Amino acid sequence: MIEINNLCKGFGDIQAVSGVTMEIKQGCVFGLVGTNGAGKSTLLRMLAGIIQPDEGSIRIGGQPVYEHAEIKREIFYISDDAFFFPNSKPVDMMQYYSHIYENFDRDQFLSMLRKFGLDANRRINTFSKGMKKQLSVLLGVCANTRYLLCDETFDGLDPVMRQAVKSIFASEIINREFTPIIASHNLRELEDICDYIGLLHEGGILLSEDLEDMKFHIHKLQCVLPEEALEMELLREMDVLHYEKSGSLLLVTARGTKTEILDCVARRNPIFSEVIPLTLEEIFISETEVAGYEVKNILL
Amino acid sequence: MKSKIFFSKFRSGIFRRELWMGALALLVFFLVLPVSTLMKVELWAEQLNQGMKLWEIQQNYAGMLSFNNLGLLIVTFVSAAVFGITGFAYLHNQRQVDFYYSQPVGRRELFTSRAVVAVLYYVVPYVLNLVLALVIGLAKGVCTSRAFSMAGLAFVHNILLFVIAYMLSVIAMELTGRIFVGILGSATLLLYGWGICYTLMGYIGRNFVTFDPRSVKWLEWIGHLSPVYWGVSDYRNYTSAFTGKSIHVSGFILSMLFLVLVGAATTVLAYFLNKIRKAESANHSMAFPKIGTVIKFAIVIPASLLVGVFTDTFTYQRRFTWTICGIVFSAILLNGIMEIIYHMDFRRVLRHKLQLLLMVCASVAVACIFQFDLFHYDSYLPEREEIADVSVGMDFTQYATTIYADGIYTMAKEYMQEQTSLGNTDIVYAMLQQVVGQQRDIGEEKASVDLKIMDICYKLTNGRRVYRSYQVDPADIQMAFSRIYEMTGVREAAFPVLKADPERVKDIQLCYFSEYMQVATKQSPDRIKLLKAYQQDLVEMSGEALTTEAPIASLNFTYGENEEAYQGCMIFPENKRTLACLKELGYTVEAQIKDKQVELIEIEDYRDDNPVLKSITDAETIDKILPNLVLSECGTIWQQYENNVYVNMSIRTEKGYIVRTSCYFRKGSVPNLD
Repeated sequence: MIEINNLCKGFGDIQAVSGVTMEIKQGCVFGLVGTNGAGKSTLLRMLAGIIQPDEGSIRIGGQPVYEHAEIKREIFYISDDAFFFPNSKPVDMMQYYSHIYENFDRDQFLSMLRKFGLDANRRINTFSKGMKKQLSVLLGVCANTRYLLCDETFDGLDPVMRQAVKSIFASEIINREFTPIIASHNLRELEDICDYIGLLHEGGILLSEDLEDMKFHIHKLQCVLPEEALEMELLREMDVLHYEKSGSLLLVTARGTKTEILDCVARRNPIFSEVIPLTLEEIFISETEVAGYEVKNILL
Repeated sequence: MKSKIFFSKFRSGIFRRELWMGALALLVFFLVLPVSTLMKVELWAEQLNQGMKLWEIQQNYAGMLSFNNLGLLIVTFVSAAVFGITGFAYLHNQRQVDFYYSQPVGRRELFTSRAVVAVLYYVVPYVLNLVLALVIGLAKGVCTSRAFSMAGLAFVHNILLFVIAYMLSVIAMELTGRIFVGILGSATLLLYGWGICYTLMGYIGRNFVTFDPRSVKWLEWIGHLSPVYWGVSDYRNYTSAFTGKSIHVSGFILSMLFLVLVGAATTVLAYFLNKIRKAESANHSMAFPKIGTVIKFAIVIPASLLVGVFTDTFTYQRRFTWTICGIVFSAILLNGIMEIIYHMDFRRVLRHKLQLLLMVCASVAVACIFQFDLFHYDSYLPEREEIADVSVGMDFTQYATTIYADGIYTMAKEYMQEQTSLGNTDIVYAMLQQVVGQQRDIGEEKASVDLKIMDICYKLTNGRRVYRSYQVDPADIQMAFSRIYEMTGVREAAFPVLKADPERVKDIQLCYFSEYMQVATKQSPDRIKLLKAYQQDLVEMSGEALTTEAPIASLNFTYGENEEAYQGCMIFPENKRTLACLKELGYTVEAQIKDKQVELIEIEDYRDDNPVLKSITDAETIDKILPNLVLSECGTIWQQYENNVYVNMSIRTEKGYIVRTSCYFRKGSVPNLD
């Protein structure tokens, strides 16, 4: 388990990560989402032991990560713009990583390269951006580390490859102790693959929950109530994140289970009511809106 | 064990990836050692037929493998800088920093592995090519045990220099976050001390008329802040030391120990910086922003002073105003450049105006200290009771000469200064007062050609030595010096030939009216007799004779196993024994020029704007002129000459042929040439 406690990191006058506290459980797929500049990459780089936190701690199995080679043997970091040695080939990188990570599975790597249609002896600098991303993921998976930190890794992959990578992750989770931590803007992709979500905004953590729990506790309500006074009463009673009215139709995004929300609206004898689950993207927009990150504040 | 295997594999990975470094080092060492050695040895072999001795070739060959091969020094510094910059360039690239720092390899291992690989890529090609060069020497028959030992010592010396220069380049890379700033930083660290030294020397040399390099030993220490300066001065020192007979082994060992200490200190500093450097410093000009201001001051002040020196040299009258202009302008410019570099933003060019003002004030203050001699360097004369001893060094001939004494060649003036001990007598102190008092006005009242250098070393009662190099008019101190000359030990210091062992003299050559004649060979017993006669004459010669008489010929004594020589030993008319001995050997040296058969005197008078050229063949006129002439090859500083009147004489020798020789007129004795 990764324990993050009151983590802070600033670059000059900019506070990139501010007081983040959360836990990442073993054997889940953890999605790290956030607004631009929310501190996702910084948090990931601190998790990888690249940069040292100003305050707070990151502990894996009770041990700090920074400058701790033994703990880092359990972590593989795939950056947004991965580095490969000049003029190197996939086999060269395999050779290098097999020195660094003692459990690196060369056979699995070569086999996966074939499956992904990547030439093991072609120079990496002739690869497309997507092919380089695929290669990074394969190297990361075959390193057989407990944690795989992916920074925007899915962005350059085509849908088929994304699916293939998801399958590999699923298979690895089943077969061994494996915890991918994925930072991305692509919320739809994360929704399909992640078990847990950490939502970052302006350096701080807005929420960190099980995705199903999150979806279970936040819903969108569409209803038509007989009186306007009842609408105001309903909004007061519920934990509303966002609401809007379109004619007589009231659209509310609120925290609560489907049953709780339906009960609440049923007491006001609605003419029409329906509770629908939110997509991750909608949850993201709603939560960040509460924190002041609203589209209308950005658009002129 | 597992860890050792891991790092061995990690290092071998770096070793393979950085193979280009080894290939480059192998190529340059190949050119600098075997190729250049082979070419030189073949060249020397050709010169063997033209008089070059085998021992000279062996000595030159040993020098090629060690301290007389500047190529080795250049390869050492260039490879150190290139390896240091490229090896740690990853620190300036965010992708690479993320790549390396995310791996289970500590910074310590990253640092150590790269340093070990760099040293190996320097050492292995060096050793391979050194072996090749030694094989060439053995095959050509010029390799001696001395060559082996010198090559070994130079190898150790160069490795230490490499480590220091490499670590300084690494430190520069660690302190910065952009590659070009890193390169600038590396060059600065390698040359900084040298630059400071050069700048201060510029100000001292320009402003202090009594400047003696030995009085500012601290400048040399500043220079030693730069390994490049260090390397060059070591090469210069060891070349002369090792090629001479006396090898200063203890000095060499001390120097090596010091290099080891500096190497260790730079390594520890580089390691420490590597440990504390933040990963996010990549793409920022300075990795430690707080020291940016210190670095700016440390660069802008000396650099603006250096520009001030240059500005001054470009102006006709060397006005101080121009120096100040150069300093102010360059300080503003450099401050602007450094601010732009720090922030990568041109709009920051005039930021930190207070800092700029402080830097300009500091630079101008330093320039003023030298310009107005605020520390009274030139007028320095210790109190009488502070002086324990005084030594003096002068060149007696017209020109600076090198002499062979105590097994090595040295400057005659320096040797004399080392050997003399004048004490603290009235006459000595009075002369010093006179000399020091004259320095303020020197150069304004007297033509520089009339002035000669007198080096003085004040040995103070507190053990300190203070050196000054005074410009004196010999006429002013002639009387005082003639008395000093007769003090114990002064004449032995002035004429090292007095210490020569007659039994070891091989050949003696007489130089008389531009003719060189071998008067005694190694087989001849007369050589011993002649040297003894000459030594006896010098011992008996008075100070008055030395400072008033003009020499008439000179002797060269070839000496010792390696045929070193005491050259230009002047014969004065008073040296009767020597003249008699030469006459016995069949060489008549006349005490006066007038006794020679002069057929033609050509005079070129450049004292006025319209030069006068005159040829005189009339015997009567020649007889009138001759007593006023002094042979230029035998000129001493005590004679006063007409510097702009050149005289050539054609003399018919006893054997009937004509020789030409040049002379000077004594001061004020040029005849009317109309």
